[in-house]
Amino acid sequence: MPPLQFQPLSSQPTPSFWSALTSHKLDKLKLDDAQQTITAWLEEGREVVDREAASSSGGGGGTVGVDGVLGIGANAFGEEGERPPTGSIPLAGVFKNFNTIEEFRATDTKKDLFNSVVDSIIASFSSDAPVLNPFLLVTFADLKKYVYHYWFAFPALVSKPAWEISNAGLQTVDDEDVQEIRRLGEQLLENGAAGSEGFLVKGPKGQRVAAPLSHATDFFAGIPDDERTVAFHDPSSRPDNPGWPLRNILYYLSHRHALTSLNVVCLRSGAASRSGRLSLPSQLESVGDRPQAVGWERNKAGKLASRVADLGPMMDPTKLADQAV
Amino acid sequence: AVRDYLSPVLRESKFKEHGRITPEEFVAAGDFLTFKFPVWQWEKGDSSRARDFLPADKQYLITRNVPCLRRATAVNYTDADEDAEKLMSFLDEAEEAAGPDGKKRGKDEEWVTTHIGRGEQDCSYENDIPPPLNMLHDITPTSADQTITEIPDISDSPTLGPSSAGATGGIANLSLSDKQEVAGEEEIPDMDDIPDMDDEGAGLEEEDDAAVKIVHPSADEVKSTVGQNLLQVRTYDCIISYDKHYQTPRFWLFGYDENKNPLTPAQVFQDVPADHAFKTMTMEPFPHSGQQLASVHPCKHASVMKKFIDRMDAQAEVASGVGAGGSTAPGAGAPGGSGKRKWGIGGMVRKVTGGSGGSKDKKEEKGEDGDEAEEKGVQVDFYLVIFLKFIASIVPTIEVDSTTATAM
Repeated sequence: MPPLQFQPLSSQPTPSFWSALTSHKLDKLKLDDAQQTITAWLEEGREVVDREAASSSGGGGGTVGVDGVLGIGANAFGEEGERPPTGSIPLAGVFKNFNTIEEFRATDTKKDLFNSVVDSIIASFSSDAPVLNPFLLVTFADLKKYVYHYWFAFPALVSKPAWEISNAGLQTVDDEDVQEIRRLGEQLLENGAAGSEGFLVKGPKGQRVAAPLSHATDFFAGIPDDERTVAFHDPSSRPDNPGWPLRNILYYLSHRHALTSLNVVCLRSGAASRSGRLSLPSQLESVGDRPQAVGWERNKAGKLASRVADLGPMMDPTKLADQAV
Repeated sequence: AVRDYLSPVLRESKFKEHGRITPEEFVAAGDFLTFKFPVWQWEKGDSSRARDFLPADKQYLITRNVPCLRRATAVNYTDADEDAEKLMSFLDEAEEAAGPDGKKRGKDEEWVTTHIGRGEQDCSYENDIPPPLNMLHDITPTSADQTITEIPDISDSPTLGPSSAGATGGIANLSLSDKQEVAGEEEIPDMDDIPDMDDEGAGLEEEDDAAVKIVHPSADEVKSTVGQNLLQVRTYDCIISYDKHYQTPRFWLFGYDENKNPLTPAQVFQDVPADHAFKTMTMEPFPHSGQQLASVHPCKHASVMKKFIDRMDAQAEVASGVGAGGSTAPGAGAPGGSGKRKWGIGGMVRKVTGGSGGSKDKKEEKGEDGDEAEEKGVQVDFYLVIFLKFIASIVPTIEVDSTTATAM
């Protein structure tokens, strides 16, 4: 049984988010650098048909996976703004804007922030509505140059031992099953269930029932392992790897509800959904007060480093004047 | 912008006569588009910039993260691409129609029939630099023959192995990515301001085996792994706004690179065929946010759209004359029998019509000739669906036309 690997999330702030951050910083925050809550959205992974490849290889094949992103737009600060794309789910996170680049670069403050988010995840485990996938965004806005330094983190608790996937790997799912599971998930949301990124499913095809993640112990009582299923909205589009948010869902289920074997359904848009059988080789080792956590977003070179969005060409009045003919 | 400010809002329906639409028709067509293809959605935009002739919550349409799999310079267009060919010759005809200003257009302003019978060519001008003007002229239809002879004839072997493909397009693209990297490093300003560049991530977290290492493929790998589902691709946010002066929809693009960083204008124009970049496609301030976005200039949209609509009307008549719903035209992109190869939209729209019960509600929007239009031909609801087909011909590498891929 190979260990299960997860596709890291990638972030995608829209240009309007930086505009909103600029006005938020100038009009509301000013020099206040306290952390605050913001909202983003999480898209599902999808497959698109590559017309070029489809025509040159004589039809068939020709699909390209596009990972869903964690998008953040002008509505992040709770004001009116862009709507999240259809089919995406909202995700809350912690935001902190530093006033100087030195503070932004300092490792200790970022580490403390990250740990506080991890603590909040673990603390929420004992509540009825666990917050499993909050994200962290730290920024430094160079407003004179329209250059924004930023770094996202998607804290994930490291499971020891690691989850494994059956040798069959992830399989495609029947469209009917996906439809049914999606419908159940939507019903849960309408009934006000928290934790929109995933939910539990049991029962035979056509007669499935669903419940929020926090009900796992009761919901799966007396159900054989191979009928226990967790479904989640999967930003990954890779055929063999589920997306990042599953990590904390699995950690929560094993840590809090002592589940060691279950099926997973990765809900992706179109016909790209997949399912697989996961298991833990043994119960979680008991760790101290805090398990190891990872999740700072890596840059293009795969290194841990912040990113820069340079919107000068789009927003800087002097550069715009140069372009205007 | 002044012209835009001074132009009166179009009130009468000019949809059939001129290909122009009123704001109400834009909203109706947008409602239809979002209903049929939910990847599109209405957006409010910056409320201080809202246009008062459109509903406050329906200012413009957007679809996010549309993948762009290749650079326009590396696209392999083939003669088999019947749709594109027709579309382009069709655009030529549109030239003969009068523009919105009533004047006939000069020869040198033509929409260009690119990508027809053109083999894969390497981007001979260095990526960030706009092609010299004489090059643009070389690729006009009048000089098509000479253009073809100039290009190394690779089209005979369309299934090039990755190695040989890499010899041309690959190398060009590689130099591109190298350049970007260098540029990216140079962009980081004022090294004095930024202490500890190297150990920024040091000590933040420990090794983690359960994460997939994301590897961004080189241009060569992109070519060879097509279809293997492993790509990191450029994506675009596509926006349709309503242009009050030209009384047509207007198309805007905002791009992200493989790492989700915003594309610079120069990078955006890599995805626009050279014939359109800086000519019909330019950077302009987006009216709902003020940002500079790439936009297709709408001055010819109306006449092109009118041609599209006329042709579809004619086709619909023919089809209804032949009768029998069984004779569905081949869908867009599907190569049908030689005699039956039609331009795909007709069939597509009939399918859409068949599937929509709600389209009759829009009857009153169609103006005086509504009764006639109800009987045959195109309804204004389809306007944006057709518009997207048209846009797809201008930016062929961006999969903006989700209307063919979506199940209908």
